[in-house]
Amino acid sequence: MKSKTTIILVLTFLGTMLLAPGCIMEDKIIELVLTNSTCGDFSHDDDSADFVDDATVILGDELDEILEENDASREDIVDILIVRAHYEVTDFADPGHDWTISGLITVERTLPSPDGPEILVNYTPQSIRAALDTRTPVNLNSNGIRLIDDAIDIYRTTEQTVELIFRIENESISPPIEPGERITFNWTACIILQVLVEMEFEVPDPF
Amino acid sequence: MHKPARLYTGLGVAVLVLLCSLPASAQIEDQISAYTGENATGYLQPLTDAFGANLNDGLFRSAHISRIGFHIQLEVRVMAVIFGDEDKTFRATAEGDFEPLDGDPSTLAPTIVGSGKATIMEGMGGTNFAFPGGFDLHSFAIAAPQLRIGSVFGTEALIRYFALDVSDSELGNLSLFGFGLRHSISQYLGPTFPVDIAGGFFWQKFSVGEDLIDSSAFSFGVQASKRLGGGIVYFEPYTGLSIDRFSMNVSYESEVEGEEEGQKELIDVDFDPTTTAHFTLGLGVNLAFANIHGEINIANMFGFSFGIAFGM
Repeated sequence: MKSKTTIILVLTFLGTMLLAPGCIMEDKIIELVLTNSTCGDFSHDDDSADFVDDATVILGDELDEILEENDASREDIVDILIVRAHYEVTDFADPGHDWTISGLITVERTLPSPDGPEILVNYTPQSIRAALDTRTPVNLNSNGIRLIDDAIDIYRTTEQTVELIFRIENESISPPIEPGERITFNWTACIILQVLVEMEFEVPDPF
Repeated sequence: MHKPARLYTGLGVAVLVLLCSLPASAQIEDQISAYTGENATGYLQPLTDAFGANLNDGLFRSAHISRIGFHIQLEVRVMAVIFGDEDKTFRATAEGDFEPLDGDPSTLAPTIVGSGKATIMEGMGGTNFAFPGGFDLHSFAIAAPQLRIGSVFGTEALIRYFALDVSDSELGNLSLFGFGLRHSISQYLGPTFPVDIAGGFFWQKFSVGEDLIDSSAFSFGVQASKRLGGGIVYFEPYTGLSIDRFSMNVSYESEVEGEEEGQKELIDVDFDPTTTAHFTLGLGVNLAFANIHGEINIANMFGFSFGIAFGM
């Protein structure tokens, strides 16, 4: 009798210990934050101060990629936030002196319907040498952010391709470009986005 | 984009091995992608504290150690902590060059055990920064096998060991090793001394991969217990007071935001070592061929532990 009671006690205890704490899984709804950089690359080779360079970005491509990497879909998106932006000169054909440039970066939506252009960034003034291989943070203009937010809404709510054109509209260069001289450099501008997705996970929470 | 995949997969697999199942390791990886440095430390701190507290639990269930006589017992211990409200949030700081609207880059955000809702901070010009949600956990538990062998002049050894090759998940080896000695003090106090008293230490090392997760725990203290009843079935209340120390370091490679695909930087998260006093109160029941026992633990976190021992 005593040994039967003992066996029952031990089995009950083992069951509690091994099954209850270890395998009680609870469904939890969690907001994940996925970070994405959307970048445009510009190549410039000109002999005038008032140059214009374009970079075209298909908004959804990279976002779809990051969602897929994280087993999420567009339906899981709670919000997409614009966090910050920066630019960086990646290559500069240094003529033996620096140039300081001033101008605007605008953003324009071309697909699926036109919007803008709006000013996104004022770069005034910017030394090319100082920005070489240096990530330079920029203040974003609310009009440009509004346009990108609208484009994000289209991406979230439709299957249509959303195309944005980022355009550098340079206004002045100091010192002036000498005859026979060319200003040649590559730069990249990036907008950092955070994608909030709501997902349900089964996690162990035994007690 | 920072993706400390191996770190969080490592934590996940650690829990998998020590308990039962994978606590969403990939999801943890996703969650931490918004964080580096200080924020990663604050976000993970409750889980680290819980892990340290659990490792230093379950080291004894009696202070009775025979002066001479062979005994060997295989034990399985489940150690758990319950999270309080103070574990649910930490002061997080917006990262990178984000400019908050009110000029204060810090706010209360969920830790890994906190609310599942993200916290959003408003910035200049319509920008925003999101701090990820947690996993809304009430508790955290691990289980470990251990072997108790004695006794020589009132001294017994305790060994915890677990090793697993999880190289399929790019983690490499995962191992838990612990060793400690306890010595009977009551043997010097005479046969009429009313309780058993023992003192000892226990050291543990838990690691995942090559330097991915490296943690160590050390505990030393004294215990007292009293056997009630006779024969092979008896009750034995026990208590203990110890000083615990726990340290943990994690390092992982992370993709660099805004850089070319594949470019990595090494992120090293060093958790400050913690030293805490630890009080234990428990009860063991010795049956015909097994001993079952349970206890509560009050240290930097409130926890409890229970287990079963087989042997002679």
